[in-house]
Amino acid sequence: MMGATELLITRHTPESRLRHPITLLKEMFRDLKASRELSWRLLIRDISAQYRQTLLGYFWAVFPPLVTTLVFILLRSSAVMDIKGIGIPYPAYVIMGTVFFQVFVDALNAPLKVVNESKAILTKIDLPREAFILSGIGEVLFSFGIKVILLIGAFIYYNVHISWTTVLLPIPLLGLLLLGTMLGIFLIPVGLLYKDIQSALLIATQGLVFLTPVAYPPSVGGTLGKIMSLNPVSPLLMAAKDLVTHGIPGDLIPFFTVFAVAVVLLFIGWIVYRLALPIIIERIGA
Amino acid sequence: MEVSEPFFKKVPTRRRHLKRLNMTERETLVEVKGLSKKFCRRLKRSLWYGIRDIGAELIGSKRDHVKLRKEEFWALKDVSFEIKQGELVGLIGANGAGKTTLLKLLSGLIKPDEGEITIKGKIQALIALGAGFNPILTARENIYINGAVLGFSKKQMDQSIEKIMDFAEIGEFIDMPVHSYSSGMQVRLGFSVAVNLKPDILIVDEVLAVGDASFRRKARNKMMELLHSGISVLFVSHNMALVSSMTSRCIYLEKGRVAAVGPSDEVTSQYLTDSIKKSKESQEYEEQEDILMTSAYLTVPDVFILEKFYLRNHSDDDTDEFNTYDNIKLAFEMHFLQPMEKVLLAFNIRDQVDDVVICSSKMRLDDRPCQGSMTVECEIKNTQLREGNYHIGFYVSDEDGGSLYKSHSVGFFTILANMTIIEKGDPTRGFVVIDTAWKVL
Repeated sequence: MMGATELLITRHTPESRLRHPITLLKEMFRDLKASRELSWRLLIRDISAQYRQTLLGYFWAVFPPLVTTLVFILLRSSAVMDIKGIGIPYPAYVIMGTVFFQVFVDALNAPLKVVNESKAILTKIDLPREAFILSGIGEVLFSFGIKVILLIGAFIYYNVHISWTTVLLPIPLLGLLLLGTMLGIFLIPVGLLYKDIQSALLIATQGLVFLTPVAYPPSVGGTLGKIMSLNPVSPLLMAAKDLVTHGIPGDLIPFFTVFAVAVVLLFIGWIVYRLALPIIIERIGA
Repeated sequence: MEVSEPFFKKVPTRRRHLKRLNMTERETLVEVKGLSKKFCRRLKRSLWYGIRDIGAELIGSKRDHVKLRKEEFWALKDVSFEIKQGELVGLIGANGAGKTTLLKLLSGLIKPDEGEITIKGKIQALIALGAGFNPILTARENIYINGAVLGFSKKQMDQSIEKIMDFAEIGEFIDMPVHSYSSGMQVRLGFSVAVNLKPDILIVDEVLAVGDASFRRKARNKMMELLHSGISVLFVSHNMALVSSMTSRCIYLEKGRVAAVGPSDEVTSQYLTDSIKKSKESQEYEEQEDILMTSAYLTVPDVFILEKFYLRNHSDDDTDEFNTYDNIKLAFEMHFLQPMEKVLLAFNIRDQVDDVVICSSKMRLDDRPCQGSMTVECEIKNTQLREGNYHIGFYVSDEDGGSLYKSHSVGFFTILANMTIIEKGDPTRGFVVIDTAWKVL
C-alpha cells in the first residue's frame, strides 16, 4: 500500500514552467524516461494496425521511392536533365538518394502526424508527451528499414561496389533524422491549432525533392545550385551518399554545423512543445 | 435508468487502519485553492489567444494578473476544496457548470489561469475510458497499450492482465479485434484496466451509467472496495439519488463557482431545489399557451386544442407545490373544433429524468358528443409521490384510438420534502410512497 510519505506530489499553477528551469529539466528527462514503454507500445500499435488493414502491406513503404526513381529515370532519358559524374548506375543512385531523403521527409512529417492522430488521447489523459515524438521517430526508422532492403536489392542488381566508409552511414542518417524531427517539433504548436500547416507541409516536401541533391549531384550550376548549397538538408544528404559511393566527403564543416544546430534547436523545440501543449489542448480539446 | 436499480451493497473488505482514523487525521490527497480558468467563446479568437498564450509561456510570464480578454468568460472562478485519503466526494452541477473543466485541470491536462492544485499520488481519471484503444487490434493488445498510456510497464501489466480480463468478463473475446465489441464491452474493458491498476485518486465521470445493470453494480462495488483500501474518489454524476447515497460530502458547482460544499444530503437537495426553481423560471418566461402548443409533439390542431391547464389543491387554490399524500386537482380546458364522439382522455406523471412514475385511469367522454369548449377535472387522491419535481403528460384520442393530442409535458409540480429520513442517503427511498398502515402486534 501507499505509505503517505512516498506519494508523488504534483502541483499545477498558472505560472510558466520556464520560471523553474531546473524543475523543468528534471521533469523533461523524467518524462523522457517514462516514455520508453509507452512509445514502444504506440509504435507497435501503429505499425501493426497500419499493415493489418492492407493487402500489399510493406510494399507501401517502398512504393514512393520507386515512383520517384521512375520519374527521374524518365526525365533523364528524355534529356530534360543532363546528369554526369555520379559514378554508379543512375537508377541505383536515385533510389539511394530518395531513400536517404525520405528519412528527412518522414522525420519532418512524423511529429505533427503522430500528435494529430493521438489528439483523442492527448486531450483526455495526462501522459508523457515525449512518447508521441519517440514513436514517430520509431515509425521513421521502421519505414527506413524496409526501404534499405529495396536499396540493397538495387545495388546487387546493378552490381554497385560500395566504399568501406558505408559503416559511418548512421551518422549522416542520424543528422537527417534529427534535423527533420527538430523542424517537425517546431511545427506542432501552430500545426495543431491551424490545419493550414499540414496542407502546406505536404506541398513543401514535394517541392523540396527538387531543391535538394536527391537525384542529381549538387554540382549543377545556376539558381538551383545556389539554393541547393544553402539548403540545410544538402550537406547531410550528400555526406550520406558520398560515404556509400566515394568515401569521406572533403568539406565537413557544413555537415557538422547543420548537425550541431539541429541538436541544439531540437532541445529548444522540445521545451517549446512541452510548454505549448497544455495551452493547445485547452483550445482544441472538447 | 440508474435510479431503478437496487442500491449498491457495501462490500466487506479489508478495512485497514483507515477506519480507525477520523477524517481530520487523514492525509489530504487533493488540495484546490482559488482555482480559476477562462475560456473563449469563439474558436478563431480562441486559437489566436492560444498562440499568444504560448508566446507568454515561452518568455516565462508569471501570469499573475489575469483579466478577461474580449469574448472570454470564467469557466471556473475561485474554486477551492480538498479531498482526503479514503474519501468519496461527489461533484454535481448542471451541464456547463464547469465540472469537466475542473476534471481536466485536476488531471493536469490544462493549466489553471489562477490558483493552485496540489495532488499527492497517482491520479486516474475515468473520463477517458478506453483511451488509446485501437479498433483493429485485439483486446489483449489494447490492454497493454492502455496500461502503457496510463503509465504502467509490461511487467506490471503481465501481473494484472488476468484480473483485468476477469473483471471485464471478456472471456474468449480477448483475442478479437476491439471494433467488433459493443460499446458497453469497450467501456467495461476500459474501466477494468483503470481500476485494476491501483490509482491513489480516482475520478469517475458519468461512466457508471454505461454497461448493463450487473456490471454497473459490480463497478460500484469495486469503487467502494478501492475506497476502503485507502484511495480517494471524486464521483461526478447527475444522478442525485446515487450521489447522496454513495458520497458523504459533495461539491456543487454553478456557473463555474462553488455554490455549496458539505454533507451530500444537504448539497444535493439544494441542487434539486435550484434546478426546480430554474425550470419554473423558464416556464414563466414563455406564455403558457405556447408551452402547451410547442411541447405537444403530436397534435391535430384543426380538431383539438388544449387551451389551458392548471393545478389546484384540495381547497381549489392554484398552486404547483404539494406534499406527499395531498389531493391534487388537474383541470384541462379543451376546445373541440369538430364534433367528436367517445373521446378518450388520460394523463401520466413523469419524474425529472422523464421516467413515467404513475399513469392515470382513462376517462371516456361518451355521454354526449364533444364540441366547442369543455373543461375536465381530475383529482388525484392521496398522491403517493416522494419529494421531487414532476411533469404531467396529457393524451387525447378519438374512438378508434387515433391520437388527437399527445404531450409529455403540459405542466409541472413539486412535491415538497417532508419525509422523515431513516438514515443518511436514505436507502429506503422509492418512486412511490405507498399508503401503509403500521401497527404493533
